[in-house]
Amino acid sequence: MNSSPLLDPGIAWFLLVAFSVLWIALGIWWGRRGGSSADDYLLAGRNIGLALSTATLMASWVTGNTTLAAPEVGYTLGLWGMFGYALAGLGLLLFAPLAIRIKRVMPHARTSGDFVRMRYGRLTWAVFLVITLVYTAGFLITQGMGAGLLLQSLSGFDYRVGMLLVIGVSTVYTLFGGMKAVVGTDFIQSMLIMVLLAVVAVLGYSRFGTGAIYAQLAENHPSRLNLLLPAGLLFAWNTGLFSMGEVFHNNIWWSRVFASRESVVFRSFILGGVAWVTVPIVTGSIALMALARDLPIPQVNMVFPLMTARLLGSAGAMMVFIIIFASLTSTLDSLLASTADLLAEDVYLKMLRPQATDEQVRRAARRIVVLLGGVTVLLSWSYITSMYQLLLFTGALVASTIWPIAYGLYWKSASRHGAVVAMVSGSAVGLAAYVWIAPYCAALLSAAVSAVVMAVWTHLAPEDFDWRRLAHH
Amino acid sequence: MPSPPFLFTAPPAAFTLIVKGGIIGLVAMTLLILAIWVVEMRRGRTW
Repeated sequence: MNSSPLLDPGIAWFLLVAFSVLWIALGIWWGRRGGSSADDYLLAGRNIGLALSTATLMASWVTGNTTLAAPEVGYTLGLWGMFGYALAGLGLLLFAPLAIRIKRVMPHARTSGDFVRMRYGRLTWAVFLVITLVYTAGFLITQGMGAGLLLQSLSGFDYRVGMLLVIGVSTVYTLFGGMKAVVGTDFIQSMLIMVLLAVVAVLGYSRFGTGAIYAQLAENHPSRLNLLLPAGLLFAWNTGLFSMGEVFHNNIWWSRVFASRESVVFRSFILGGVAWVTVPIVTGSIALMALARDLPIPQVNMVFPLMTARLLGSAGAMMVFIIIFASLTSTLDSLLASTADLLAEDVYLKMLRPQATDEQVRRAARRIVVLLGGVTVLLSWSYITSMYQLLLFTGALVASTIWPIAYGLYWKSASRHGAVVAMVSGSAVGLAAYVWIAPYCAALLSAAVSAVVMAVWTHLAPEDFDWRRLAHH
Repeated sequence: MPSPPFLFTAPPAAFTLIVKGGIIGLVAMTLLILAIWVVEMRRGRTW
């Protein structure tokens, strides 16, 4: 696909092996130091501090899409593309008050499924599990495909070799170390991403200057500086709502709530969200530099790696490799650990083996990590669709969960029947909008329909939920 | 590329603010997280 790779394959192999050995060694070390209970494995002992909690939220939300697709929308839509992508930080920021509420009303729970089951009953729980598992599969596929495409584009690796290596390494260290390995490696990965990204941006803009970049954009690409770009505004709204749907429902974020100390939960979501917002702004700014400098971009989602390699030569290509490798592994490990947590708790323990011991739940979670790694490889085996199109498709589903979860956390009267109808009708309308209107409208309409159904149903048939039921998990 | 129907171009100062604000924010958040980590590590409160 790429006849002249940006990074020499020998250097790429060296970096890949070095970081893989480091992550796996740390995973094994943390796994041995951790306790032996299911909570130790699934939730890192429920005692994570502010620094690690903030870093793991930030690193998990910096996905392969943030480092490849955010510069792409900056390049194609300009400032509103950057803002629009940055609005995905709203998911983390707006979840902060919900997170502390969750921690207080159900301190002993393990998953987002626990909340939905106890709050709304088993039917809503079943619908919720379908939605979250479809979304998780889509998310895993995008990261698996992103890994294959990255190594192929950067260093000429075969797509499947790259994909297998990145998924394999993430699976192995998550298997050995559980959530503790995920959080620990996420801290190192987030620091790598932030420091290297800052170095690239500072060197780039100090070489060319913001004034010169602005002048070239204003002359040749004025639409990129347009603050009233309709497509950009629509994109921004959809991204904000989509991110709320992703964060509010998914167990990646709920498991971080249960894994962190109560005193740090609120602040870690705020700090993680603020830190994350800077990433698409900076990568988008680098993409605008490429546009202003008229750098030939044969494949638009490679604008960030191409510009960095052009700017800093092979050192730049190495930095990009490390940034994107860290982004992919930090997201994949979080998905594997939190989905294993969800399946071990909600499916294995609550559906299949209610009498299972703590040790059996822990063993089941480890088997599920391996199973998920294998499923991700199979689903990513062929490059089937655009990564971003796939994510927008799942946005139609997850946006329908925003209001049932938010209402359910604060309103005693929130209706269980309203919740299930809101999720189903919101998803249906969102999918119809995805197919017949535009993918960008899917999350928007799904969230709107779900909000109205939930509010009207609750108004007509209010319930009187006892919050103490959540605490007695 | 056809001209968009409404063009409200960001002034140079706004562009500089966005770009430099992003970079400064990134550096500041990196240092903040590292500082919190050091403090928590000294107190044995990382996890």
